[in-house]
Amino acid sequence: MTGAFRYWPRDGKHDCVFNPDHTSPNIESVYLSTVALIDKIYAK
Amino acid sequence: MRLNFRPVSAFASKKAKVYLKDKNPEDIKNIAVIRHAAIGDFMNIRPFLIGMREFFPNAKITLSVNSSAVYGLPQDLVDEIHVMDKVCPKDKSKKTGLFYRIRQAKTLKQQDIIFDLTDSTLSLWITFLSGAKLKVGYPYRSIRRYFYDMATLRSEYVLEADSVQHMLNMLGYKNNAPLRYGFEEKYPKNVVNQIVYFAGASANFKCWEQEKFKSLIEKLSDRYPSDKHIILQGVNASEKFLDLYESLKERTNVLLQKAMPLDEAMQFLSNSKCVIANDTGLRNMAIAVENRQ
Repeated sequence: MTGAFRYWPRDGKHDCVFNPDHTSPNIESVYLSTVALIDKIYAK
Repeated sequence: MRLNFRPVSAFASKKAKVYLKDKNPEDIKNIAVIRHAAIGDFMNIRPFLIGMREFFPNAKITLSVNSSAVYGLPQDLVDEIHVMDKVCPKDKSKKTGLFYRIRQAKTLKQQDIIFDLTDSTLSLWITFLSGAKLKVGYPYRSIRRYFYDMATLRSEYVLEADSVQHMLNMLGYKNNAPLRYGFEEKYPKNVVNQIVYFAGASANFKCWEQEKFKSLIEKLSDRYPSDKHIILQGVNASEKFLDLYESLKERTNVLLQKAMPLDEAMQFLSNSKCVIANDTGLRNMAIAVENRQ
């Protein structure tokens, strides 16, 4: 299984949502991550 | 050039040290880079190629690619392309034979330095047959380092676009963050209110479930009602996402976007406010135009 870290720039502009046990992330986790990034980057 | 490494972290043979002893980066005239890969990997090596051009200002750079995967190849950053056919050009259902491949590998002219960024059996053959004065590798397995004069191991925990530059760092190249992909002028950013969703991946088992994508798009289209929420189609038949769109099309801010030619797709990603994808190819394209994931 390919790990996430190789593909994830940790510069605060990107996020990678994954579970350490390789199970599929839930909707809420992806939703909260997206909202946090959009609100942070595009905050007026 | 003096090598910059600790023996446990990388590898260099006596031959490499002798070769580099009286060389400056300006003395290097020919470099080949082997990268047989798909578009996402081509995005990953752009910072490496930009750094290489700066560090070896007089070198002619040749990129060796696989003819079955040339979509998105970084032609703007290299001087020549060397092509290998893994399948017969006249009959794509057949693989090419050993002698055919050896003949093609030998069309790569002798190089001062060859960088093998692929680490496959074929790329090892090309490296071996190239007769390069210095062979540099980037293997997954430590045992493979012995095929090269110099090698840095690739890490699972470092961004690949970053770790690939370790080979240049070993030779003395100093790179400063952030990574440069060289697309600022070609795909200038003009962010519009659109959030892009790509539900595909190279294999079905790698895909985030479409039911989850559907719920996510519902929640985000409620949260950001004035944004366009665009389901992006891919080029493969399995990447049309018609069922996903059908279940959401009553929402006026959810749209379906057909696959676009590469330049158009890159500009589209550059202009998007956010891209949500589990496919590394599209993700690396978005990262290369400095998009948010």
